[in-house]
Amino acid sequence: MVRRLAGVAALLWLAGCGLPSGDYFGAIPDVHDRPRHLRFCNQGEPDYVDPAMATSTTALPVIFALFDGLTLYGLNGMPEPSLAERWDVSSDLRTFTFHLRHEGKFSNGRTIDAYDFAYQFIRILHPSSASPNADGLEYIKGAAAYNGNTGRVLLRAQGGLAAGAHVEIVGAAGKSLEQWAKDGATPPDANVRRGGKPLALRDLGAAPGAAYATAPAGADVTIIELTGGPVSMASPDGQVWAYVFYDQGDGAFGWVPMAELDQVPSALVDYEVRELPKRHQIGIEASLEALTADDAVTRPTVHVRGADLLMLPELMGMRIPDRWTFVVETAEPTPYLIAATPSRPYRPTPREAVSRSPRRWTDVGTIITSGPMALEAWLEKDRLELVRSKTFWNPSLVKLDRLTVFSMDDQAANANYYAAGGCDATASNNVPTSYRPILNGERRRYLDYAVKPYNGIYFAWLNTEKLKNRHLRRALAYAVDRKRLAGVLHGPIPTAQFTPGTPIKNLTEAELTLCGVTRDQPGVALIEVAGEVCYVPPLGLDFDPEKARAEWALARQELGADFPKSLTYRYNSGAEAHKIIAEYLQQSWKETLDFDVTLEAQEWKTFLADTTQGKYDMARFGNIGSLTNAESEYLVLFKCGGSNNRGRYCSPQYAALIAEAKKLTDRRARNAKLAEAEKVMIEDAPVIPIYIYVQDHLRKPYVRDLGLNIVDQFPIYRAWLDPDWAQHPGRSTSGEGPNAGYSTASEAAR
Amino acid sequence: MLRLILSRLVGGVGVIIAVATFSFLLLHAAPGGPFDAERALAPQVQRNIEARYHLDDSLVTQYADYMGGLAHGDFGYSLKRPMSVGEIITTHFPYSLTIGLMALLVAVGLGVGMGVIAAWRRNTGVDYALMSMALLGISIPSIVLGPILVGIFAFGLGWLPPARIEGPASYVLPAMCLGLIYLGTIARLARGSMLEVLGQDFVRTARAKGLTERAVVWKHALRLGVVPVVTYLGPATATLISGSFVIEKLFGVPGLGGFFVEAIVNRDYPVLSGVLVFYVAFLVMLNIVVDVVHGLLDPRIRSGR
Amino acid sequence: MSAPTATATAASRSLAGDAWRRLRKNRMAVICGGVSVFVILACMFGPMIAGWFGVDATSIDPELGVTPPSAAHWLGTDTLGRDMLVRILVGGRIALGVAATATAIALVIGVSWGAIAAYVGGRVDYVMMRIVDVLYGFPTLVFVIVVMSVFALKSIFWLFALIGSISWLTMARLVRGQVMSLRHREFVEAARALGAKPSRILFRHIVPNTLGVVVVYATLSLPSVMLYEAVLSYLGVGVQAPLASWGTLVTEGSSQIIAYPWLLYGPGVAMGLTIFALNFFGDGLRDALDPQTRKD
Repeated sequence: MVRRLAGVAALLWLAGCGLPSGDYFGAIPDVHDRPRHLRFCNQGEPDYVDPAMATSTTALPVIFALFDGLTLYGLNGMPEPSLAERWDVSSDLRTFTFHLRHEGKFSNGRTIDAYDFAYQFIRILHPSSASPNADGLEYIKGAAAYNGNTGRVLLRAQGGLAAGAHVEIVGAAGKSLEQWAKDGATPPDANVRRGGKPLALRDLGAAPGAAYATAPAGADVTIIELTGGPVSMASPDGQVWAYVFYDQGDGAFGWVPMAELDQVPSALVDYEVRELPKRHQIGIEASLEALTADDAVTRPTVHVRGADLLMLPELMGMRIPDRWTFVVETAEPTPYLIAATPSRPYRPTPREAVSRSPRRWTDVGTIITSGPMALEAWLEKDRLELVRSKTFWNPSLVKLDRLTVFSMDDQAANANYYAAGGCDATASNNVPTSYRPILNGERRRYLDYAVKPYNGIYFAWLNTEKLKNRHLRRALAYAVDRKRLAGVLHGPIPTAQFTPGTPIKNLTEAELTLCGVTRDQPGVALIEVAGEVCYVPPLGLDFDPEKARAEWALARQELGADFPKSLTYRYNSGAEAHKIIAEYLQQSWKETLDFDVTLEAQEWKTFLADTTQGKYDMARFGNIGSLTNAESEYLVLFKCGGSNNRGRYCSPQYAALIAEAKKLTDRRARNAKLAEAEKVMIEDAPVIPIYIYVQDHLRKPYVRDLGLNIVDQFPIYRAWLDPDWAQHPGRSTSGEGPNAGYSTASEAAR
Repeated sequence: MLRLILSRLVGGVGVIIAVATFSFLLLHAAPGGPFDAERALAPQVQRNIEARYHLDDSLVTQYADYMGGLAHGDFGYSLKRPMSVGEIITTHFPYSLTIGLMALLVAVGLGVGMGVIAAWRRNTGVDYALMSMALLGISIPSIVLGPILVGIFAFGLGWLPPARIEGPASYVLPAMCLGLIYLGTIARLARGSMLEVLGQDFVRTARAKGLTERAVVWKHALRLGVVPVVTYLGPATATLISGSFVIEKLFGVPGLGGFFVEAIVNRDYPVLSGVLVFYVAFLVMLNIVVDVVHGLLDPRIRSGR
Repeated sequence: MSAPTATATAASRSLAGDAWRRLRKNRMAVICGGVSVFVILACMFGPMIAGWFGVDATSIDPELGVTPPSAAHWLGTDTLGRDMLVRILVGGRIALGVAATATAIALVIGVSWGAIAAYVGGRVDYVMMRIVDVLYGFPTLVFVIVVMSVFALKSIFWLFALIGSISWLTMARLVRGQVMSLRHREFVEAARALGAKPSRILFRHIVPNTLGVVVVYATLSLPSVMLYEAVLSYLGVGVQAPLASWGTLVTEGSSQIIAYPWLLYGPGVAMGLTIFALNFFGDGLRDALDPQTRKD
C-alpha cells in the first residue's frame, strides 16, 4: 500500500498533479437520471438573496432566478420582457412607461402590480432600509432628496407654494443642514410620530389583533407612506392608513390607521424649505433647455412647521396611472434605463414578508419569491437548493426542475469539484490563474473551457492631486508595454483605452457598420444595445518609449525642483496578478524613464480607505460595468468630486463635454460627444489602462443554453442538460447570442 | 480543586472581557468600514447605512451596547449577511469541531505513540525514521499539503471527494491535512519530554525492580512524559476546533474559521468579536482542564503552592 | 542525591566541552548542523556570487517568462522570468532572520515568563497566565492592520518585533508546566536547603532541566513562524515586492502547483530542508546539553 501511494504521489508530482486526460477537464458524469437538475459552482456565498440588500456578484444568479422583474436577462445578457409586457420611451429619454402583465404573481399567490414596483423603489431608496443599492437609482427624479431624507411634500399651501408641492429641506430649527452635519447631529425628522396608545403594526386593513409587531405607546415610528397617495394603494376602509417603520432590534414595518399616530414631536419645529428644481418635479413636461435654465434659478426659501411636511414616495420619479402601468421618470435623459431593467431595483419584493422581518424575510421558512425558481434550502457557505416555482407566470421559460448552487469560495476547490463531476458548470472567474495555461491550450486544450472578454477594465489610478503635472502622468502611461505584460498573465486583453469592449477585429460585419469602423482599425468597440448602439472609445496613450521620454523631459522642465524623486505604487494583496503587474510596471518605469517606483501591498480595506482619501501616488484598480454602457459605467468615474473618482481628476473641459452629451437624445451623437470627453480624459492621463478583464467558464459538454455574454448575466433557469450530448455535437452550451464570438464554448483558445 | 476551578473561571471572565474590549477597540480603529467596496457608495447612502446599524453612535455608546449584549449572551448581528452571530456559531461550529476532533484524535493517538517509541529507541534508525515523518508533517504547510492530498486521494486513487462536506468520507482529507501538522508537533514534544523522564530516578528504580522495559515506558514514564503534550494541547485544541481558515477554504468546508477571516477582511465587527470571544472561552476552559489534568498526571504539581 | 543535582551544582566548567564532545559523536546532528550552516552561508553570500554572473533577484524578463529548471537557471524562473534560485537565497535571509528573532524572543521572554510564573506561583502565576490567555485571544491580524495604517511601519524591524511578540505564548505555558513539576523535585529542595537564592535555584537548577522541551518546541515553531511572516507581508509589513521571502514564495508557489510545480518545489524544499536540519540539529544539541545523558 505504501508503495502504491508513493507511486501515485510521485506520478502526480511529476505529471503536474494529475491533470485529467482526454478532451474534457475531468469526469463527465452520466446525467440521464437528472436531465433537469443543474449543479452550479458559484464563486462564494451570496451575501443576501434580497434584491434590495445584496451587493455581491455571487448573489446575482440566485436573485435573478428567485425574483421576477420588469424584464429578465436573455441568453445574450440583454433584457427581455417579463412583468412588463412592453414599454414606451419618451423622445427626451426621461419618461419610461411600462405596461405590466396581469399574470405576475408572488409565490403566496398575490398578484404583482405597479404598487409593488413603487414599493421596491421605497425599499431601495428610503433611508431606513439602508440599502447599499440606492446608488443604482440615482438617476431617478428626486431620488437624491428622498434617499438623503431632505425631500418633503408640503401638506398645506403657504409662502407661495401650493399644497402638495415637492420641496427640499435646507435648514431645520434655525440651523442650516450643513451646520447640522458639521455638528455631527441629525435634525428632527418631521416624519416621526408617536402613538398615545401602543401601535399594532399590521397588514393594510387588518384588524389590530392581526398585528405582528407592536410599538409601545410613546415610541418613535417613522411614516413612510400614506394610503391614497399618487403612488400608494387606496385605503380599504375610507380612513387614512400610514405605513411606518419602528426601529427596534431588526426593525419592523407595518400599517396603522393614521388617526392612531396622534403625537407629532416635531410639529412645531421650524423648517426652511425650497421647491425642488423642475428637473425633479414629477409629471412636468419641459424642454431640456428649459430645465437647464431652471437649474440655475435661485428658488426662495420658505419657513414651514414640521406638521406641514412629510416625506412620501411620490417624491420619487414614478407614477402609477393605473394598477397595470408603472411610469419611471428620470432627471436627465437616461438612454441606459431599459438596459438596467433586469437589475435589482426593478425586481419587486413582497411588502407583507419584508415588513415583518426586514432583514430575515429571505429565510427559507418565510421567503416569498416571484421568479422562475423558488428557494428550498439555504445552507450557508455550502449550497442553495432552488426548485421550479409553482406560481411563476411563464413556466415554459423554465427548463430546470432543480438548481443546486454551491457556495465554495476557493477557486481551486471549485475547479477540483468540477473536475470530479460535482458540479456541471462554474461561475466566471472560478478557475485559478495557475490552471489557465493548462486549460486554455498552452499545454493541452480542454473543450469545456471558454475564455471570453468581460465588461471590465483593470487600470492604475494616478492621484492627480499629487501627480499634478500632466506630462509626468502622460510619460508614466506611455512607458508601459501592455502587450508584453498580457503574455505573462495568460488571458486578459491588453489595452490603452479606458472603456472596454470587443476587439474591433473580432466584430461581425454588421457590428463594424454599426460602429462605423473598419476591421483593420486598432482597439475595441462596445456594443451597447445589440444591433442599435455602439460606442467606440478613443485610443489611449499606448506604449511609446520615445514619447514617454519626451513627456518626461517636459515634466522635468516644468517641475524643476518639485520633480518627484520617487513614487509609490499601491496594490491590494491577495491576488498574485496584482503583484505581478506591480512588479512589471516598476520595471517598465525603470527601463523607460530610469525612474524608481516603490511597491506597497496593502490589505483590502486599508487599500480602499487610503485610495478613497487620496493617500497614495498610484494604485491599481478595477472597474466592472453591470451594463454595457460607457457613460454610466465608466465615464462616471471622472466626475469632479465623485465618490469613485479616486484619482481626484477634475477637468472643466471634460465636465463640459459630458454635460453637452447628457443633453443629446440621439444616441449616436451622444456617444460621439462622450467619446470626445473620454479623449480629453485619457490624454490627461489620470488613469493608465492596462487590460480588459476576461471571464472564463468551465461547462460540461452536456450543459445547454447557459448564456455566455459580455456582462456575464444569464438566465440560469433556462439551462438544461442533454444526457445524450455525445450524439449532438453541434449544440452549444451557451445558447444563441447575437454577440460575436460568444456562441460556442469549444473555441476556447484565443 | 473546586476552588481552583472556580477562581480560574472568574479569571476566565476577565480574560473574555479583555479580549472583547481589545477586539472592539482595534476593529473600530482599523481603517475602512464594513461597507467600503471597490465601487464606493455615495456618501449619503453610506450615512444611511451607518445610521441603521448604529455605527454613527459614539464609540462609548457602541461599546456599552456591545458589552451589554455580550452580558446577555447576545453577540449581535452580522453587518454583511442576514444572520446573527449566535446563529453563525451554532450552525458552523459543528463542522470545525468535527474536523478538529478527528484531527486531534489522529494527532494525539499517533503522535504520542511515535514520540514514545522514538524516545525509547533514541538515535536509532527507528527514531530517525519516525522523527523525519513527524517533521515532514510540520514542514509542509497546509496550503501545499492540501492540494497534494487532493491530488492523491481524490484524483489519483478516487477514494475521497476533493471538496465539500457530503458525508463522513468528506471529513477525512481536511482532518488529515490539519492533523498532520499537530501530529508532528506532538510526536516531537513527546519524544523530547520522554527522554527527560526516562533519565529520572524513579524510572531507574522501576527498572531496578525488574519491571520489563515495556512496562517502565508505557506505565510509569509515559504519565510524566505527556505533561508538555497536555500543556500544548490546551491552546492547540482551542485553535483546532475553532476552525482553520486555510483548510476550510481549500476543501470548501463551511466552518467557523472562514467566518473569522472574512469578518476581518469585511470589518464585520460583531462577527469578528463574537467568534473571537467564543474561541477565547474555549481556550480558557481548555487551559483549566489542562491544569487539572496536570495535577492528576503529576501529583507533585498538585501538592505545590 | 540525584544526577541533576550533581551536574547542576557541579558548575559548568566542563559543560560546554562535554556538550561539544557529545554533539560531535551524534552523526545525524553533525550532518544537520552542516546543512544549516551551509544554508545560512548560501543565503548570505549566494546572491552576491550570482550577481557576478549578472543574475539578481528582482530584474524581470517577461519574454523569458516562466521556465522549468535548466542549466542557465538551476531552479527555473518565475512568471516574470526571474531566477528562482537567487530569489530563494535572498528570501532565505528574511526567513532565517525571522526564525532567529522569533526563537530568541520565545527563549528569553517565553522561558522566563513561564518559569517565574510557575516558581513564584499563587497570585503572580494567576495574573501572568491570564495575561497569556488574553494574548492568545488578542486579534493580532487586526492589530497589525491598525498599527500599519497609523504608523506605516514598513521597516523589517517591525516584522521581527510582531512575530516575536506572539511566538512566546505557548513556550511560556510549556515551561510553566515543566517547572511546576520540577520545583518540588529533590534536587531543588536540596538547593533550597543549602540556602541558594530563588533566582539562582530557578535559572541554574530548574530551567536547565526544561531545556529538552524548550529546544524541541523552539525548533518546532520555525515553520509556523516562517509562514506567519507571509501573512504579515500580505498585510504589508516587512518584505515588499519585488523581494520575496520563503513564506511568500511558498504561499505563491502553492497556487501554481498545477501548472508550474517548480515554483513551489524550490522554496518548499529550501524551507523544508532548513527546518528539517535545524530540528535534528536542535535534537542533537538538546541531547548534548542534557545533564542526564552524561550518566547514561
